[in-house]
Amino acid sequence: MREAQASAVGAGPTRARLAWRWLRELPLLPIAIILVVLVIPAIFAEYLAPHNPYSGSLRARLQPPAFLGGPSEFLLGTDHQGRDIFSRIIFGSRISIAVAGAGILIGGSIGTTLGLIAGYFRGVAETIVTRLVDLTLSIPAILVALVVAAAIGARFTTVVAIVALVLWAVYARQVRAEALKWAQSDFVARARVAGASHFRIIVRHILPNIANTLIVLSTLQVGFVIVFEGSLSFLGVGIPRPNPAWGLMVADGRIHVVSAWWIAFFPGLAIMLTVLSVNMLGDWLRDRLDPKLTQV
Amino acid sequence: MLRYLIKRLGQTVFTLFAVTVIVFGLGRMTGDPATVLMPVEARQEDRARIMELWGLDQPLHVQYLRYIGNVLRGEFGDSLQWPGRDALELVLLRIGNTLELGLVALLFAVALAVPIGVFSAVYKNSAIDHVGKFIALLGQSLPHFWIGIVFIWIFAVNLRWLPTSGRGTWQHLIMPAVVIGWFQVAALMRLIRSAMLESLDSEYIKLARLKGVRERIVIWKHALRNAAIVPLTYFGIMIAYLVVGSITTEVVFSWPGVGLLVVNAVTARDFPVVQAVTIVFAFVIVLANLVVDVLYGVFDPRIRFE
Amino acid sequence: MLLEVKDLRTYLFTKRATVKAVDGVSFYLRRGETLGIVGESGSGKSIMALSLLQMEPKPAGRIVGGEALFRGDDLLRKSQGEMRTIRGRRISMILQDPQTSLNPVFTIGNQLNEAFVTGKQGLARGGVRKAVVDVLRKVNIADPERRVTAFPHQLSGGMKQRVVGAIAISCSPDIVIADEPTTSLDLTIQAQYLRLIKRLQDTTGVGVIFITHDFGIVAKMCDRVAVMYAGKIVEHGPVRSIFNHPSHPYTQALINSVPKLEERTERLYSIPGQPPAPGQELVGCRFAPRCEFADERCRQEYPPQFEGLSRHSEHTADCWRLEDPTWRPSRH
Repeated sequence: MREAQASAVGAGPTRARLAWRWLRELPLLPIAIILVVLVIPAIFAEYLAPHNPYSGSLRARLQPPAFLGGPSEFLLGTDHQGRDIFSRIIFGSRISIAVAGAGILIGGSIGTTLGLIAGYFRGVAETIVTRLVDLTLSIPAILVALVVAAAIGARFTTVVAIVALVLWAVYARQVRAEALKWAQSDFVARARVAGASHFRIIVRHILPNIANTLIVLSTLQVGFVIVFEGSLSFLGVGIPRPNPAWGLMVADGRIHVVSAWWIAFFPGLAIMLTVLSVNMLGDWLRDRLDPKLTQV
Repeated sequence: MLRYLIKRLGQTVFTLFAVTVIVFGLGRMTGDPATVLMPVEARQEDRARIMELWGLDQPLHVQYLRYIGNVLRGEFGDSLQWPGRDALELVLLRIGNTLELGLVALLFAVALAVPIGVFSAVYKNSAIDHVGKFIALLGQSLPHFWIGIVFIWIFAVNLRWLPTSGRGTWQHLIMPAVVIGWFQVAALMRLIRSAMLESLDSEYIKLARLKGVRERIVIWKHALRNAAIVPLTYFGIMIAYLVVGSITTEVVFSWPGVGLLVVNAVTARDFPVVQAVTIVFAFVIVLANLVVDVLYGVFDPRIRFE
Repeated sequence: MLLEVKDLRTYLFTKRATVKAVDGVSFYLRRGETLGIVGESGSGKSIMALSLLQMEPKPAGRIVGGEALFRGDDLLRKSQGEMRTIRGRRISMILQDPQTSLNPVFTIGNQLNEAFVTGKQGLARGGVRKAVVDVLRKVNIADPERRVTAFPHQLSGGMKQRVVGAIAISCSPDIVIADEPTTSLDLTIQAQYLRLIKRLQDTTGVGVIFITHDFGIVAKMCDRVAVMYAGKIVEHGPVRSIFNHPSHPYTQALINSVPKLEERTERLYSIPGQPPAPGQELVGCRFAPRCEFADERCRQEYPPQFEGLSRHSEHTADCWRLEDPTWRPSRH
């Protein structure tokens, strides 16, 4: 009885202290920015946005931000169609999250699966996968996006597909290297002797070991995807109008930069803050979870 | 060296082949290629010309062979935006402008990244090292289409130091080149820093110092020459990014290059021009990678003599 | 006296601990003489040598005390700028590994040129080239005119080390420090290289500090020897005197571990135990934990230096056991 108590007391504080240390070292500023600029607006857009993001009144067009002498109802001013920029940025966060989430989920799943197969089974599969990875990474995705837009038009689905097309290769390359390493480990050898199936070994023994790599990799990709989607939308080959995609809003503001700089400035600022924060979080996670992961 | 080059040449051909397959495939992804490849308002004679050029009534593999033949001959058909102008000719007319911008951007990136990278390594953990890390983080995070607009607003609209857009004087080059180059600075600087750290820690640096060689020469000759080999492998990727970066940046600054051409062509659904640009860009990138591989041998005598 | 080092201390300041890599070392070197410095790896002999040229591993390493009088001038008080004119010109050094100590991207000629040019020998362009060829010939490199255009990877290990040697003697220095110059060479090449150093020394009268862990090489090369253990010189004296009457238990163990010529084994030392871990705080004799004779006092208090061992004024050793005159070796 006394022993049990002692051990419980002994184990309790250490685990709590470890968790506390983790919490205390969390990069609070980046996390706060991600929550305020990206996550909270995306969830509560209907409640937070003071105006309709899709329609405005032409009488209220090109109004400067409230703090620069504009009407108090438009916090960040209005665009050339009189739409409230603040509301559009809030709704735009949904697009960024959706593209990043869907793109990373699809590209990541495909890439991880192919990387596992290549790294575990080696042989022809590995040759084919590595060739395809090299090929994919040598063709700039933006060119593919341009051709797609010209051929079949740009939509949400094509943007996600193009993002996934780039990302699968990044995942496959990294996962293959990891799977290769774990496939030669002792516990995989033991599982094999014990008669575990290939599928079971991959899912139960190798996948959990590369989970950290996948978390870090995915965090670092969020920033890339948001900037990439922004670039495509800016060029008119990404999310179509009149959606409030941040990149599109920057494009709308470009021709008005002389008279109404705020149209382009604030959506771009949202992209920058989000991406900067996500990258800082990603660097922090990499240092904690997977210091070996090379710059990707 | 020769065998290596032949192998690389093979990979190059494979990549170019893959690009043609992608472009070909996308052009024929949905039902009737003629409607996909042509805007609705295209004139009847354009439609007929494209049908004939690409053999759109033939089976798919025949179409591809025909297509590849046309690509090899440089026949992408006439532009639909500007009737009577050959698509490839339009691209070649503007590629000089794009390369000019890319080259200046590259010079800017190297001129900034090399000293920062070297000093961050020599004075590790000093103020300059932290500044360098911050630049790298910003480089990763700033969307360049936005930074370009912010630059225009600051330096052209408000300060009136530089022209807003277009091509002409050397002042026109500054902002677009800085915007494109900025993103290369981050990656290049980090590579140089880590390569320099490794090099500075080596025995040959110790021996150079033991010879009584000036510290300046130790760093800029002995250490940097060795450290430069690593970032050089990155140059191939860098050129790809310069090309890609040129697309958005040319739009921002109305730079009359291939990037602006292709974006306008996409908007006008001018498929022949889009195809021509894609193939030419892929060719430039692949060629650049090949040149880098050769340069690699020049820089590293250990490879040159293998 | 060419060089006189007194109580040299170089510490490595790391985050965790202060490592006393060189902990009060004193020795001297005369013109034309070869001093051997023997010790296991990690005994501080390389850091000691680099400290003489103010090249201690930075930023962790720092010289914290002592003096090194080179022709009466304290090297440790000179600025980096002044040191640069001494490095390579007055005191040069041959590093351990010829594979890595030549810069792979420059030709042999280029790297030798540099030694001459920084040496400001007042040579014209053609003169430098001739001097380079001459010095390569001096270190027995065949066909030196052709070799100047070669890159390091095109030469064999032995040849590379001879080039490093050529760099070291290019400015006719007063002292050459050779830091285990032959450990990475095979035995035949090793012997050749040692003969070369010996011959160069005979013709130039240069003072040599020969750092090694191999007592066999000391016997062949050196006039005097200093035995280093954990940052301190524990025994010092003329080679013959030390070989015949090693007074410190560590020296005895080292000499016993030298493989005899007839039974050439790959096995190195077989002294039980490990040298003290870097950063470990040490009171008393550094060798006590591994010494079969150690008692409580050895562990508590560092022994004084006993002089005039084996009736030789230069033979000294730091060991409590020598307090008892019967332990002091005497010449018969």
